[in-house]
Parts: sequence; structure tokens; C-alpha cells
Amino acid sequence: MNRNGFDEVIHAPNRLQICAYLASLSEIEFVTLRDFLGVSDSVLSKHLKLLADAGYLDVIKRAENGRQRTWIALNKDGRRAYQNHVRELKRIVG
Amino acid sequence: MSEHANPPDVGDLRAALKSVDQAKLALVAAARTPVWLTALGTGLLAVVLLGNWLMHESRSQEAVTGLATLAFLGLWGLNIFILNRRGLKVRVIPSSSAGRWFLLGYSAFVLAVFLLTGWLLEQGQSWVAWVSTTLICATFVIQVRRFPTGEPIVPAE
Repeated sequence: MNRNGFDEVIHAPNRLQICAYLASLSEIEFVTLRDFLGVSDSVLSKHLKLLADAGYLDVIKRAENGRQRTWIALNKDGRRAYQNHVRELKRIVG
Repeated sequence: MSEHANPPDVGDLRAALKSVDQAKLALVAAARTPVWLTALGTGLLAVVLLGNWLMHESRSQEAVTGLATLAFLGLWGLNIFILNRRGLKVRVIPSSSAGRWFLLGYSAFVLAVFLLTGWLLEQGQSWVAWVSTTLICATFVIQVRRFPTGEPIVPAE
């Protein structure tokens, strides 16, 4: 899955951006992330599933003010993998 | 998931890093504290700081400073509420080491200003309260407008 920090799961363009958004935040709402990326619900769900399957993020559903909101958070492993991946990209680029 | 067979293209990697910066900048724009809230918060912060440094045992001044402190904390809560409504929850302590160093540096700066101001006020230099308040308020505005996520953003060339 990774070599010297380079992570194939994270490296795909949309997933790298998802991680970049999540790394600076505690949590982000699904619809906000979808609007940032400019993708459809299904495309975002597919990317989130891949990241969740790799054990990098958590999907939290909460009922707030009578409506269900879905929040996405990068977990500890995800943050480490993302930071290692970006560090490796910077190292290769020089 | 398999390892990438070919060595990654440097141009692609640069583009990937640029996309990371773009994401961070978009996030900064979305998380930026509104101008009216920044102005109100900065005004209250100035009242709190000046009240703290130039208070002369007057009950009315104490009350104003206390109310300004409560109002400032209330605005802080309001900002968190606004961000939450926008679908963003900002971390109190940044996750990246750059963000942590940035926070540590800023805290050290504020602490140094407080210590120096306290010492100079004891020497009878009351003007320092105004200079320190201006310094702290200016850095507060930069912090909430330029670095609302607590991450120092330096866009790639």
C-alpha cells in the first residue's frame, strides 16, 4: 500500500484533496466536502469508502436540530499516512 | 492496492502538492471569521486588555472589563457555531507539526508581550499598554482572518 510514505490510496487526486481538507479540521460535513470538491454524492461516497476501508477516516452520523448530519474525520492513522505521503511528495519533488 | 510500478512523474507530484495547497486555501476562505465578527471581537479584546492593564481599582471599570471578557468569549462561541453551521469543525490544536509550532510561537509572543508590559507598567510607562494592546489586536486579526484553521499556509510556487 505504501513505500517510504508514498500511499497509493491517498494519492488519487480527489482523495488527496479530501485528506488535505480533513487534515486541517477536526471534522467536516459530507455536503460541505462535496461542495468543496465539486463532485457528486456517489463519487464522494466511493472515495470516502476507500479511505475508510484503509482505516484512515471515520464517518459519524449525528442528529442535530431534527436533521441527520454526516461528519467526516481523519483518524490518527489517516493523519499520519497523509502527513507521511505529503512529506514523501515534497522529498521526491525536492 | 498495489504499489505504483513506475516511478512517479515529478510534474504530477508537483501538481498534487499544488492541489493540497489549493484545498488548504479554499478551507481558509471558508473558515475565515466574518469581518463584522472580527471587528467586534477585536474591539472587545482591546477593552479587555486596556481594562486589565490600565484599571485603577474602579468598580465601574472592573464591571466593563468583566462584561467585555464575557462578550468576547460569547463571540468566540458564536464563531464556532457559525463554522458548525457551515459544516466545519476546526481543531483547537493543529494536527500538523508546522501548525503546532505556529501556535506555540504565537502563544510565546503573547506571553512575552504580557510579561514585558507588566514590567514596563511597574516602571510607570503607561503608554506601553496602548502599544501592547495594538500589537495583540493586530496579530489577533491576522490570526482569525489569515490563519483561521491554525495552519500556516505557504502556497507552493
